[in-house]
Amino acid sequence: MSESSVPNQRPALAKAADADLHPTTPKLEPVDDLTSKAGSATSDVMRPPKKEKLVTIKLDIPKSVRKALRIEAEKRGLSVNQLIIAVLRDRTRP
Amino acid sequence: MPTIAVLSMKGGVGKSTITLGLASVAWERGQRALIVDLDPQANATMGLDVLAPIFTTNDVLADARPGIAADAVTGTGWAAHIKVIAAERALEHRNTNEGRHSALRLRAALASLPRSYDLVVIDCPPSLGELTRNALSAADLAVVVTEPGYFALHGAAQALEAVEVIKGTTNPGLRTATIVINRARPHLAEQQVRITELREAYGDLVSPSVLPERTSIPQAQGAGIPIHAWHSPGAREISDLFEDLYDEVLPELKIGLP
Repeated sequence: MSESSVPNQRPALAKAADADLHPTTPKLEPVDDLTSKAGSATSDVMRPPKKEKLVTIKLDIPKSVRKALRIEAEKRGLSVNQLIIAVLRDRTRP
Repeated sequence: MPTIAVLSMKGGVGKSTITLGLASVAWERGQRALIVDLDPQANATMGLDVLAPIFTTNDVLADARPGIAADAVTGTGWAAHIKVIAAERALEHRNTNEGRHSALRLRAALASLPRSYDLVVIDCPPSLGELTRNALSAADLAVVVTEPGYFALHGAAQALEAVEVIKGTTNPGLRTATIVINRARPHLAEQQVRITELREAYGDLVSPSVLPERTSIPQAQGAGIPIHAWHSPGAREISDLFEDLYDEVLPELKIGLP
């Protein structure tokens, strides 16, 4: 049998990304909601939500923390950026 | 070969007990059975004496590629001819609609797998969520389990409605095989009333095999062995009733005709 006739191997089954996440873990808000800010006037409900301006912050963090963030973000189906915004917003909420 | 979904909308009526009972008959007869545990409580998985499975129905439904369930089939402590796709707590994540064809994930993942077995039994969770929809969409037959009690009878009615909804949407070939009365204590007058109500409402759809409450059932489950392997008068009585139920649901697998 020639090499070209060998079918491609299909990727094997892998553990689901949320396999280690307890089902009662609170779901984080979607990042779209996190970056929108409603106004105070009643008529604001008729308008699309105002987007907050995004800024870039450079942080020095231990490599182990970055690794933990990547794992946690994957479990929750978020990007690392989305996870950090969600956590910071939660911790700094008045 | 037939794929059976064992369901009830009420918890604690004995879905996993019926699933394990059918598996026990297959064990006794040397027929190849695959148990698909779709209940995040994983009671059927535990009863089949499965320790730390690598892949579960959560992984299968998260992936959902055609035929991928074959990768998650694992052995049980019962025998080589009794296999399982185990459940785990995280399976609860899959109990929500995950987009188009969400209810057909299990059917796709199982693909041609049922042909390798004499029967496939799917143990459903006690809810009408996406996991039950997946089970009914993948099954040929539905076995509805109930207790002879007021709440359980309502649960059975809801399960029968669910079967009709799935028949009209994702799985026209689905049919209700039987309604099984489990955990019966026939000396109680209230239960007699409920059993009569059930037979009047559903007629021949109610199985003649009424399973009484016996301590040998939890004993065998706790030991992780088939009820047929538990030696007590109660276990023998229950085993005979499971044989009758098996022959009623799966007449094509009947052996030793009298």
